[in-house]
Amino acid sequence: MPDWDMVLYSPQKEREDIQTLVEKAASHGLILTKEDTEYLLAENRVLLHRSHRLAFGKNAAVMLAEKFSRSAYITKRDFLNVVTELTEFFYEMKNETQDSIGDDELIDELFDAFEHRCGGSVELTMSRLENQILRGVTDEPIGEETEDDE
Amino acid sequence: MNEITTKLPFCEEDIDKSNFTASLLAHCSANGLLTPEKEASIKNAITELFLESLEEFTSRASGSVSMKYAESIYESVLYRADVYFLHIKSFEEAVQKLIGGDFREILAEGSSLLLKDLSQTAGYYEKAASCALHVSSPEYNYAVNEAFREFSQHYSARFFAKSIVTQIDYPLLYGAAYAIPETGVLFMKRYYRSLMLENRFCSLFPGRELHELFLRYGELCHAHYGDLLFNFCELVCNQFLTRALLGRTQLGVRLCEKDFDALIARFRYSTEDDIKKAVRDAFGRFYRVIRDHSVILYLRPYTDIFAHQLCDHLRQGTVTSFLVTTHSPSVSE
Repeated sequence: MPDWDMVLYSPQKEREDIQTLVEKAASHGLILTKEDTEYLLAENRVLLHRSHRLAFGKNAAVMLAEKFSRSAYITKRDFLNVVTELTEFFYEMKNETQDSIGDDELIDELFDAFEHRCGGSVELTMSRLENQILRGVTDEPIGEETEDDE
Repeated sequence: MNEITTKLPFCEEDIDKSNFTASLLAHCSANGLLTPEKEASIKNAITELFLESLEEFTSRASGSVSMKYAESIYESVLYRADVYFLHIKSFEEAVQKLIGGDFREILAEGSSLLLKDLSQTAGYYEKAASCALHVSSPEYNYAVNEAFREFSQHYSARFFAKSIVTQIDYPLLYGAAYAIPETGVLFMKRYYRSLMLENRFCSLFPGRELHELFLRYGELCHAHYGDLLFNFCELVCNQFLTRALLGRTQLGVRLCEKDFDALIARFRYSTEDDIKKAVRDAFGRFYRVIRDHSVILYLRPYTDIFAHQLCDHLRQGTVTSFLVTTHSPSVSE
């Protein structure tokens, strides 16, 4: 297979997606600079490479950034870190589920857990989602030990 | 055919049959047979179909896919072109089509041919199964009873075209299944066509004689024949051709010690070419008995293989390890 550098997506479309992200984030009071969006794109490439994935559609980091820009828990200071961590987890889940889960579905689940069940904790969100998606465990009360923890 | 393809700087043997299109593209490109515009147009056609297949694979719900799937889907796109090119009888014509044809049309035509191949393979399988041997060989029975069902249930021409989603171990007359250069449906087509012809040939012989032959072969190998991985048709052919060489006129597989003596006496000092000619002639005398033209064409190249092996065994004095004596004498036939 030819080397596609992990991304097979039109740069024009990517620029449009970034513009949409910047506008949406701004509507939620989050101002993203050119450096911020370039950082997101660069990180996304690294994470794609690390998780052995090929991108051919909308950038997952941009989609996550768009969704999480409305979060009540994230500040401008930790926004990029949270999105990067979630992007890495996002690709991990895609691989673990053999690509059987759609992007929007996974992002909605992540946002729902982060905002409504995990109090804005990235670690807890990832742990909950991992249990939910891979093991079918749902709704563990916060702070209680699970059988796996014993 | 034009000037470019009348004197190609590479030959058919240089091309990797299991990756025909990629290999042909690489050779044409390296030898300057493709203009940069043509290369770009081919690449665009491939990428277009690849992207469409990726969207289909993820039900248009993902913007990325794991590399293992991406590779398989990409191979599946090229496989359509492989099918197209491998259906062209002349290699030069295939090169000409690559250089001058519209690659989008080649991919579309390849898809149609692939569907035809799938249906043709199903036909070969049904015919192979309808005249299957009644043997207690797990590998043979798996190939006849299970493998095709698994293939037809799970094969995906769009996303995993090169996989056969099953494991076939039973060897064919001309070699192991894994030695077949084709992949995917082309592999299955070749395998089941061969198996069909081998089964048709074997079914010309009395079942009792065959059963006796296989049991005896197992005895000589100190095992039950079902525990040995060998091609039944090869054993049948060897016995049949030996008998034909000895002048028998009826289809059968039984040989006795005296037959060996007669064989050695007759061919001990013959050259390989003499033996080849004798085997071809002997086989030719059975055309009217066999009557099945496809079977005859399929088996004909084997006569030279058999003659070569027989010649070696005659020289080394090991004919008894090559052929099988059955308990029932054949001289009195």
